[in-house]
Amino acid sequence: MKKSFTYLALAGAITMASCTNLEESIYGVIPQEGFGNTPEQLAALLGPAYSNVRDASWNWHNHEVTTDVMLVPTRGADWYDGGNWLNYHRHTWSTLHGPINDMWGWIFEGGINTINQLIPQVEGNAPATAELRAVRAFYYLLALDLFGNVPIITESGAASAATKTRAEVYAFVETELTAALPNLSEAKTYGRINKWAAQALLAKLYINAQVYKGSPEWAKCVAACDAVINSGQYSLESNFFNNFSINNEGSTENVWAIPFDKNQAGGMTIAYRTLHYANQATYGLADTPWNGFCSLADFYNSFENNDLRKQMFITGLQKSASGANLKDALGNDLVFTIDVPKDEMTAQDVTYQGAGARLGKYQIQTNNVRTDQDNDWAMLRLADVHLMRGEAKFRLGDQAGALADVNPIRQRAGLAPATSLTLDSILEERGRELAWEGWRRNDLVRFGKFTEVGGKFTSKFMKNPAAHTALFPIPQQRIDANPGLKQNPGY
Amino acid sequence: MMNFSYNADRKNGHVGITRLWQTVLALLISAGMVMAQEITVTGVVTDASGSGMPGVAVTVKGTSRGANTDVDGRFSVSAPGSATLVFSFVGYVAQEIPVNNRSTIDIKLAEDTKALEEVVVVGYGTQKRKEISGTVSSISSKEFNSGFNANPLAAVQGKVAGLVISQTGSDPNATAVVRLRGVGSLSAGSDPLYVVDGVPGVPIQNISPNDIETIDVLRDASSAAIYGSRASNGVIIITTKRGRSGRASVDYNGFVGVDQIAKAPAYMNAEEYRAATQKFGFNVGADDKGADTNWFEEITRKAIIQSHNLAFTGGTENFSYRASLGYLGQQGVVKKSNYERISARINLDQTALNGKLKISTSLSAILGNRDFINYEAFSYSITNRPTDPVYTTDPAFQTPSRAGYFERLGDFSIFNPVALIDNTTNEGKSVEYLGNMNLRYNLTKDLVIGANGALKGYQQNTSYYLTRVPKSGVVSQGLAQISNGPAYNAPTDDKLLELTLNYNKTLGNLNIGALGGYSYQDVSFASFSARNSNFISDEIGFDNLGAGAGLALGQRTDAVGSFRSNYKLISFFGRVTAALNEKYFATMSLRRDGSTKFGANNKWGLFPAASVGWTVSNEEFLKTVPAIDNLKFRVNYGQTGNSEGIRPYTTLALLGAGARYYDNGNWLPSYRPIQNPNPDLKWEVNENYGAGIDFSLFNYRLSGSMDYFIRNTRDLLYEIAAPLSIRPIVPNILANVGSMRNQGFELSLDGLIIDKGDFKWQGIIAGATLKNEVVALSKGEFLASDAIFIGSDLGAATRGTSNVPFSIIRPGYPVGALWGARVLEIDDQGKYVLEDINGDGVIDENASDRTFIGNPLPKVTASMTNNFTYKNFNLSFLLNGNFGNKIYNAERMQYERQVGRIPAENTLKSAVDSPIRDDRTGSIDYFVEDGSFVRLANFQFAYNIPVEGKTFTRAQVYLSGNNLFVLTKFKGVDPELSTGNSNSGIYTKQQFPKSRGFQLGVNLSF
Repeated sequence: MKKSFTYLALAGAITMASCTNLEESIYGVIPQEGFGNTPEQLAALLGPAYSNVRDASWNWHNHEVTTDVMLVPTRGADWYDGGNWLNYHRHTWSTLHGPINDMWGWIFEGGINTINQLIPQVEGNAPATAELRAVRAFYYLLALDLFGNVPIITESGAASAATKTRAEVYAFVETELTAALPNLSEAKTYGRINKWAAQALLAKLYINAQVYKGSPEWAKCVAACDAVINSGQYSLESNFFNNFSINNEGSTENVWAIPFDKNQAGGMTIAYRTLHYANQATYGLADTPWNGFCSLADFYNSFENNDLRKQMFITGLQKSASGANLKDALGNDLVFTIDVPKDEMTAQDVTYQGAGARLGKYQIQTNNVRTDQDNDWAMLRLADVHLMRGEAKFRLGDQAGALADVNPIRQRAGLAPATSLTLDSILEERGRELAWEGWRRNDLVRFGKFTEVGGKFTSKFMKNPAAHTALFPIPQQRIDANPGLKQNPGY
Repeated sequence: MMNFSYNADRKNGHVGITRLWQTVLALLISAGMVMAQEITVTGVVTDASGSGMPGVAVTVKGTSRGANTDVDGRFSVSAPGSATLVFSFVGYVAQEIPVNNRSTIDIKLAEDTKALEEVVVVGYGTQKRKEISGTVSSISSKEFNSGFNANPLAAVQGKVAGLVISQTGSDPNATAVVRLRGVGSLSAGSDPLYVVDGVPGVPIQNISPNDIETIDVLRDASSAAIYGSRASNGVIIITTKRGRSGRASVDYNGFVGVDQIAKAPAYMNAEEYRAATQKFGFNVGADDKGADTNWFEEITRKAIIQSHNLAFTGGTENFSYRASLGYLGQQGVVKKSNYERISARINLDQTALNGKLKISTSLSAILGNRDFINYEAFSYSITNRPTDPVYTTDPAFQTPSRAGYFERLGDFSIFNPVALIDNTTNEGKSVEYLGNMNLRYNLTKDLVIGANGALKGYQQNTSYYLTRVPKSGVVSQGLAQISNGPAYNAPTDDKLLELTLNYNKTLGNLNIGALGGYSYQDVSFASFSARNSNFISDEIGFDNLGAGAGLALGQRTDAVGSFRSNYKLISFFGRVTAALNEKYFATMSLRRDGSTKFGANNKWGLFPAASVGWTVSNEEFLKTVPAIDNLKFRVNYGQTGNSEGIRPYTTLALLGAGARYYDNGNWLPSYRPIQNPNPDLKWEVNENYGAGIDFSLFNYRLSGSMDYFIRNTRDLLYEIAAPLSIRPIVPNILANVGSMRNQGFELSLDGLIIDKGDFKWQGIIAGATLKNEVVALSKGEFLASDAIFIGSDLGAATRGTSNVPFSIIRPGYPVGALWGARVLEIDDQGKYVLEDINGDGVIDENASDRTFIGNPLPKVTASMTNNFTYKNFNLSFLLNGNFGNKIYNAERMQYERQVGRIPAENTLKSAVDSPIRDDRTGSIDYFVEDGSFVRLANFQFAYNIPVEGKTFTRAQVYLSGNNLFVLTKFKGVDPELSTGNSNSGIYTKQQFPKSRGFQLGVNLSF
């Protein structure tokens, strides 16, 4: 009797133990431990570091809408969006500006911290680790450029939100890229960062050293550019527009391209953002475009008429594929005018739908069944490297060396070679060559023109003389969540 | 045929389900006794109307002998001449009649209006109404609302103070929002926990109201806490009808009805549109296609609704059954929207082992067929010009596939709504099953051991096809999709096992009860989907996915998908009750819940509760006051949890497949960390303090209750900006951050206002106040912004309003408060002149120059039911109202202005006289309106056909209706919006219209 009671109690205890087991049964996802051991798993772990970069094609407007080369005017009710686009262009954004907060998230969550979690996952594999660190350095370069004072968080140690100075972030990016170099591939690895893409990133870092840490590094910039140019892997395309074609993966000029695919990897939607609704009939598009992004007259007019690159603007009377005149919402012929009379237009402004030359740099994919296109994003081009080296040489006093880098770019555009350069002419050339590629704001800040009201390189709609807008604010939501963050001066 | 006499049964000697043979036992017992003065007593039991009452239990007091009345209410029982007979029937006042050596006793049973003896289901057991010290409302099927009740809760709307049911529009496929005592959560869900026949976590919207016996609402946390971590929004317990020993009966309830649009929106017709274009100075010219199309009428219709329910009940001494079949066919007032339901239920009860073992089984299956429609059609019914025709043969105004629908090619986001509805097929076929078996075994007279096992599952198979016709993305044309997954957010597979021990003892004047239990629940969600596109013929639809070209052309990365998750909930619970002298009552309960969903650092939660009651009317000093029949004071406290907002695995660091990456010419799925794990994640805690009074006065003519409560919710689950310290990989993390308070006063009154012979007027009032306030939004390392803006989707064809929030979550304000700029005036240019609220000289209506502009939650909800009875006629109706809430009328913001719409789009009639010539769209107080309303929610006029001596035991015909009128100042079509989320109270053009319905019905029993 006593024995059987013991058995009973024992059985009861075992039953109770299994009846209180709260271990999860996991389906469809994988615990982090132990993943990353096979080559396929390793490759798949590098994927997210790059798939997130595709969002650059959206966050790109931070670099362009804020400048003299691009505008998203309000057209009737369209594109008001709570004033976000106007605030961008007028430099009147607040610390609550939604897209700026989105950009912070893109950099720190999709980029830096995702990679921070991937690095331990590929532990022991030096090339994979180096590549992840280089991509992370790219994000830190953006953070350094856009927000200035940011925290440095890596895969190890405490993740402190305490802000580092801009000079410290600069040093970190330099260290990371330099450390990664020996283990990066020297071959072309399309869509990924190889040794030459990392050198191009270093060139971007060094050319802005004056802005970032208060002292210039022109010679280091020249050396980094030399490494890319002398690698022998890249050459200027004979046709400027080959770099932006639907099949631009064949471009010999793109040092780092971000691959897009209309089906597999969407996000390349510049055509939709810029074309008028009725242009659906021009290009046989699946859907009506969105009639938003356009350029400004002053920038358009900075191109000589024989500049082949001027074809990047879509202007004038718009027709359907069969040649019929397209109409705007008021029933008038749809004409893309060079001038945008106001940045906030209503239906009373007769050109409110057609105002502004449209962005046609990236080839428009006709008869496309998707809103997304196949063109790959030209993140870093050899032309940019040449222009950077030319600028650095010019600033070092080497006028002849500078001309040797700038003139091939001009000649490709069908222009006569320059015989002398000035800082303004270099900045103008960079504008014409690199417009809408995501570097305009960076250039204007470096040349001291970004916050200059009424200047040659300033949009007529930008009337806010505040110097602090050269840095974006740390989004208020982030400061609320991280008391360690420090707001940038002036906000 | 069915009128078997007692003796016939005995002679026949076999168990037929149509027999009254519960009395066999009584007979055997009485036959075994030799009693000198045994006499046979016969008689008729009738109800107030004089109709014979079948199935009334007639027992000899102090024995287990007895009989049930037959179809005519007749009974026959042998009893000692000195005995007392007890006549009892659920819902009627039991009567004890001394035999006094009479051989004939006819009695009339009165309906039980005082309900004090009624038994209330309180979770894992029952309690007598008079012994309850918590706050529990119990509604029996007899009290259900008249008219068409699409779901069970519509049947009790307006009957329970503090229970608010709201729904935007009358989509037969939409689910109403149910809130008990306010909004309890920011994001974790504020729906009550539904318990059906003892099984928690059952979606109830498709249960036929005809199958329901009672709905018990555990309003306060002291009552609900026995359900622990899921009970924080209250518990609603549904008990289905079961069989009874006695006569077999058949019930048929059915109706046919018509629904129509209650109020059409006021969009311009062609003539008004032409006048407006001229007034605004536009020359439309050849763009006027000469039609006069009312696009809203083109997509709507008169809808037919019909419902048929058949139930069979009966039973013997040891076995009873109820089986039912139900059909509901409900067309929506928008073309192509349909809901069809077939429900079947079998409830069986058996006793065995000399009555010591009771086995109850409930099996139900509900099949649903739904046709969903694309709500964008509502937006397009306003944006399309009334001068455009629906159909055309002009190739310049057709999609390339030339289907005959008029489309303006190249116009942004304007589609022909008729084409959109005609060319979209979206069917849902759902299967819901619930089977449970409940065993109860009397170990001793006082101690019962119980086991409850349940299996349930909810699956919906959705088939979608969009033809090649619509003017939209080619890749979404000829798109076919089939998916199979959870229906109604309920698990596809759910297993439950509960063990309980129940002890009840009467010691003199003290009744004590104790309950202990263990529960194990295993819940799985699984889904599968497949899709293809680019079919070259629309004939195939979704019936041969492989036939599309989309996959072959590489157009789909989403061709197949599947998902599965699982969690387990393990609980221990107990409850002790005590009742002393029928005056003092106390209940204490405790539950310990552990869930695999909770973070590693918070696996188990404890939920205590206590309540006390004092029936002061049973004290000597009040017994002499004749006006007071019952007066009870109640005080309660309880802690409950809300864990429905936590998905399985949220607390873990996991890798999963992510976006594609480019690998040497191939696009492969990347693998990445999928979330920010939070190992501290746990349930929301709801702490509830309450006090109340129950009373019955004037010989039970007036009864009611009053309650006051404070409901503090802390550890609110919300996705807040993740701190950098955790290396976040996505912007937000689900954490327990906030706290919120609801408080309110509730009043229920039930009065028999007139009771004169044949005429009776009963009035029932249920009302509640509610004050909701977000208290805090941060906890520990998780610091939310002190103002979280919530955006609202204003629907398709909405221009320039992406990223515009109307609502806010901010400490010191009600959840989802309307937040925006203040308009000082409209200037002579027609522009909004906004207030510089922060006084910095700059108007920034999207940042600092915003403020509180309205509370979307009603301050008071109230309803009044009236029942008039005259002889065999009955009229009842329910008035239902919301008071003090504000609505943001986004439709007027977009469509009541002189600019920006005409001539490219149609607009509201009122735009012509609008002073506004401002294109800005945003949250501005100019469009905040009073959302108060009073609605005649339903009515019924019924006639009970006298059935004495006929085949039928009940025959009723009625005319009923829903939504007869609405009194409101609100300018949109209907002020009722689904309310109780963090962005309530936004009225847009893209919503299903509200319908008005009439039904003709019949209820028969035989």
